[in-house]
Amino acid sequence: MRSPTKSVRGVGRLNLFLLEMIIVLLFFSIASAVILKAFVAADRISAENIRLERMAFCAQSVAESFSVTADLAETAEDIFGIDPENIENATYIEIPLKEDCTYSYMEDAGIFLTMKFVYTEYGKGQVYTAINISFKDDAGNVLYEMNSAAFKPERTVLDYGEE
Amino acid sequence: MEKNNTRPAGIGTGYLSLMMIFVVLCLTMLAALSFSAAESERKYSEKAAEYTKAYYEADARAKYTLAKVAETVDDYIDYSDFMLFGELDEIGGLTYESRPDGIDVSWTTEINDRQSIYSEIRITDAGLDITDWRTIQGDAPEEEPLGVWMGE
Repeated sequence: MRSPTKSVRGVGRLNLFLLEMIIVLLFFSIASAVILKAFVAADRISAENIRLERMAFCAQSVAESFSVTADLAETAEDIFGIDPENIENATYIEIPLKEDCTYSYMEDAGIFLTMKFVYTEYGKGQVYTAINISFKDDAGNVLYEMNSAAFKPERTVLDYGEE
Repeated sequence: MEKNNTRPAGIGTGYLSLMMIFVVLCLTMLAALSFSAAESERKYSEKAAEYTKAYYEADARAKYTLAKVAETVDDYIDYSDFMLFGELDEIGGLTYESRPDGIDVSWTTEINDRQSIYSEIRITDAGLDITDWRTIQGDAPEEEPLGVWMGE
């Protein structure tokens, strides 16, 4: 026959275990919420780093291509494969890009690359052109920006879209 | 005989708390490590992006100097004309050497406080030739090249 004293002692232990479990779960949920926040922040920072590196590489590619071509439409074709005939303005181009800095045909663009002429100086049989390369988000905030230039000893005919 | 019945059947009180403390400590450590790794990566990415920006801005300034030099020299047939030297001095920061068939011009453009772009061109009757365009430490090119095997 089971002793009634033992039974009461077992129930007491079970209650204590349940109480501990509740406290542990409560503490664990609070702690994991804080820890999860740190993980999410680390993930966000990491994603921003990747995006910044891609933008810097993309800007570098644009600058290198522009220094050879001295033409925005040709640069856009060279780097993003955009048909120059689709580019109306040869002094200001905005290209929608995906997060990985590839040309976005659809409306899933996360970044917008802007290339624009900021300064042009003609000399004797030569042209010096400076451009501004900037990356903006949907809201128009500048994410990354740099300037570059091209020098062509042979004068290039530039279409500014005006007479 | 009575002794055996007093032992707990499952996990005893306190083990759960210990396990939880261990798990929370492990998670906290992992979170702190991943956060600090992401932060240091951010600093590196920002530095790299800033350097790229500084380099291309210096490159643009160097090309502007190149344009100015090319335009100035274009006016002269005699590359040892003192008027030419005077105009080159006006541009500033140039080192030049006149040759019978042309002129060699070099200059440095600062990228940051540690690095510069060294540019060297040769202008002859045949045209303009960029003979050197590279990043150097400080503001003067090394006289002695590094002992790097060139594949010979």
